[in-house]
Amino acid sequence: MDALDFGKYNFYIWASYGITFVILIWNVVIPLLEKKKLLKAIKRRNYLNKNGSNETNSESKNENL
Amino acid sequence: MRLLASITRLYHQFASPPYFYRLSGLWLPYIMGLFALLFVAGLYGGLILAPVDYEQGEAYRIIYVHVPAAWMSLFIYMVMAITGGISLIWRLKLAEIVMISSAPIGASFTFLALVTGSIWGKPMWNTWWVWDARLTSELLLLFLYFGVMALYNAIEDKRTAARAVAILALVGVVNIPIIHYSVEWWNTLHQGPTITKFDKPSIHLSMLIPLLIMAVAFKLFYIGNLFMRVRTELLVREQKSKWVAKLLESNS
Repeated sequence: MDALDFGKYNFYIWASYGITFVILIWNVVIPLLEKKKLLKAIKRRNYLNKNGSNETNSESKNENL
Repeated sequence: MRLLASITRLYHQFASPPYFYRLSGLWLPYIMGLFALLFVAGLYGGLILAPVDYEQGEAYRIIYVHVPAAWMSLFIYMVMAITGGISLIWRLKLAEIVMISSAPIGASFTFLALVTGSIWGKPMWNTWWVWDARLTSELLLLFLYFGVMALYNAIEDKRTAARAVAILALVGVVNIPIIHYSVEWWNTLHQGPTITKFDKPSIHLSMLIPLLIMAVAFKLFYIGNLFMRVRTELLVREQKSKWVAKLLESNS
């Protein structure tokens, strides 16, 4: 692993690349979680609307008719 | 004229939410796969193959994340401004969504450029930060991205919000040439351009190639990540439409 030893600059280089990794992964994970949450919410609403549960208010029901 | 008509038709078809949703879903794995390939190649070239710099030693290797990130921070802002202009003129929903979905990615790359620049500055200039023209204008760009995101979230009606954001994005364009030319117009601590001097590039080929690979990789990441975010935003806005209901039924 000599090729990856940058001497006195080790900290600076690995910190830069580490932050790059974190930011790229963050940008992928956050939208994935948001999408999962959204799909769950839409599916739940569609299900409740179809089955006429009293959990949905009449307003949102009418919008979907 | 018939050609123009068919181009317009193609454009509207592409910009229609269900069509874009389906097509971007097909492309996404290829875009992200190619990104991963180029990213690894860029890392290998930049950290292992590229020689040591005669002036800065090993520290210059930060360039392979710093410069592509800085380029993306400007590029994404331009995409945001252009799609903002399109959404103001033609009220195209997809343009609005591309504009607003670009903001967090642009902010991320701007933040990355600032942080890696700071980490690079410490061993080279012996300071984490100076208020010189390049650094200050790039920090302003980060605040512009934050402003765009905050403004969009502050307005309830998303179509009105998009119009307000488009105007802010267009006004902020004035900052882009300032960032680009800051190292030439003012005497800055930040070094001048090494890549865009095409007449006599002051960088060796073995150092330049990994940088260009990394730049393409970052661009692919932006496109892939943009597609992911646009697809979700399309679902949010169109959640009461037939095509979304159909899509969810076929998925479950």
